[in-house]
Amino acid sequence: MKYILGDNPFFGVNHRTGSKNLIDQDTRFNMAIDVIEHGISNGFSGLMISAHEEGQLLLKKYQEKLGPKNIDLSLQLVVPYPHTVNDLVAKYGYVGAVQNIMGSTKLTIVLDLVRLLFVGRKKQRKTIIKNYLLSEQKNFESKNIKIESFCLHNVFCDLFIGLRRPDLIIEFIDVCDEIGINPVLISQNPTFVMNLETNTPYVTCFTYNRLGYMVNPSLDDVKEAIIAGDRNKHNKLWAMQVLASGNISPNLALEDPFLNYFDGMLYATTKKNRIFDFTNKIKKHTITE
Amino acid sequence: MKNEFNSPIRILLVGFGRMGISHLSIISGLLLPRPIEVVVVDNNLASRILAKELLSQVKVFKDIDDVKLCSPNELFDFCLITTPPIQRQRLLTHASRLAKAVFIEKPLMVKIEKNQMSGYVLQHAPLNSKVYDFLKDVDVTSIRASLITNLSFINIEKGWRSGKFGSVLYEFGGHLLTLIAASCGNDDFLSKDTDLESVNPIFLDSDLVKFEFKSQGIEVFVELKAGSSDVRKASYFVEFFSDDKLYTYDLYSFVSYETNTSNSKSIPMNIAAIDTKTPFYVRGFEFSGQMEAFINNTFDILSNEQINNIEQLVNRVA
Repeated sequence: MKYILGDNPFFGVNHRTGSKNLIDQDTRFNMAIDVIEHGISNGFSGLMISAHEEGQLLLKKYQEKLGPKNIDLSLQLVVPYPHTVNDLVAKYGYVGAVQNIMGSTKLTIVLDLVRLLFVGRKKQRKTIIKNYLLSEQKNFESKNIKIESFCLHNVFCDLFIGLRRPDLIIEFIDVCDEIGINPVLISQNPTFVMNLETNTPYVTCFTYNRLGYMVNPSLDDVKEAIIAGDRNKHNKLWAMQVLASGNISPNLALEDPFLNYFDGMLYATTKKNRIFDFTNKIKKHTITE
Repeated sequence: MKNEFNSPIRILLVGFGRMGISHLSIISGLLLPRPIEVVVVDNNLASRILAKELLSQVKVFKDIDDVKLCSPNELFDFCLITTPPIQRQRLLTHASRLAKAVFIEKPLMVKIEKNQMSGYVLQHAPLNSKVYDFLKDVDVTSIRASLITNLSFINIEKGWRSGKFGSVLYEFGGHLLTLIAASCGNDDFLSKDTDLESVNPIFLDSDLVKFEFKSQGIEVFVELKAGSSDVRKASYFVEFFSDDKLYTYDLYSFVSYETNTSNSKSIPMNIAAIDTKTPFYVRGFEFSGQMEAFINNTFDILSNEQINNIEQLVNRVA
């Protein structure tokens, strides 16, 4: 079992209470770096972080503080960040938003759109996805920080499922494979996503907790899909919101034998003492490496 | 012989912007595995190109006038109007002729009638009905409600959001009012007895709006604040006051406080403790719930009168 730190609380995002008022960035980032440092030295394998500007700033600070100690950090980078995309489209329209995200000129976007229409669309799309992922890699990697996985944000993953375009998700997986970085699909509709037909192995990361909170379409349906898909060990599963946003105690959550179907688990906190607590509880339970 | 279950559901989408794409994805996901046929209308070339690229086998048109039915019996099952808030009346007239049920994104700027549904999504927040049932037995005397978002409207220079409707009032005002109406425990709130004359607008700018009004004897104070770096996304907070208690609701949890003692607090309910799940999720349970209500023809939770009054109230503030 792989244990991964989640970044949401570092940026004031809480799935139970909504977006909290943020305390000042310096305090938040110092707490976050403490949590990351103690997480890594207590068995966590890395950090899942969204590809937004504040994320970059946090990692810059991490590099400054922990780089000299040579504490390496593996990232599971979540791309793209939908709130940034949403705000950019609201402010600048589609063309302006793409221009901002890709750093392109208007002319190149128009040319890209024309090429998308007339010249090998799939190949062209893959080039655009690849260029975007490479630019994020450049933004987030540094001497001690390496990207282990690109995680397709659930809003985009689920949007493509709804639009009946799983091929676009498979293109993302293929591009990750080309770059040599593991593909992860974050989804709130895991029963659709965990059984895509791909040549490349991928991870499905989704909400799972024994309370059934935010487990769609239902806890029973998800369990059934996991058991049915267990023959296909080609693909892996990561669980997030295992504590149901604080509504289940770690002990109770970790006692769940069904977690043995998972290969990874996300845990998010802003308090370093909770890291010790959580890892101690992990050791008590039957979940094995 | 035609198999009813395999016959495609026909969807007309007017406006292929962010809301159009996300609503289409949700309704299409909820309808899985039923086949769908989609027709997109958008006067913007980039949007029409995007629609062709993103959707398989879609027909696109520049104007709703160009959409013709093969026969009067072949109405679209659903039409979603997700254009910017201009030309709504003309679009609604056409859409009502073309489709069995019509959804209109907010702000509506038209009065909705039978088989028409508003885009006020917060009516469908999963905890609302529990809060509503709880507050039914409480004598609420006043309400303070606020919205805070990081999105700013002041510096938007282009597009429809640079005009009259590009403000925190039009983007979030109706949402907050529908949230209050759907959770306050009073069926008549902002309904037939609403005295809109009592609205006291303090419209400061496109990023900060405050206003007061009274409905059903309840005094309501509203504050809408945009462009705030204190939050990463839109957050709602409603306080319901009775003579001796304060109840707070933020879409995720409902908390009760004794006002005459300092520490007494209880949490009657939170979202994790209720049955939150959906057949298809993209961006929030309320969005899935809204599209389920559209598919099932149960439409808005509030009455059309409440929705129309809320729109009038927002226009009065502006």
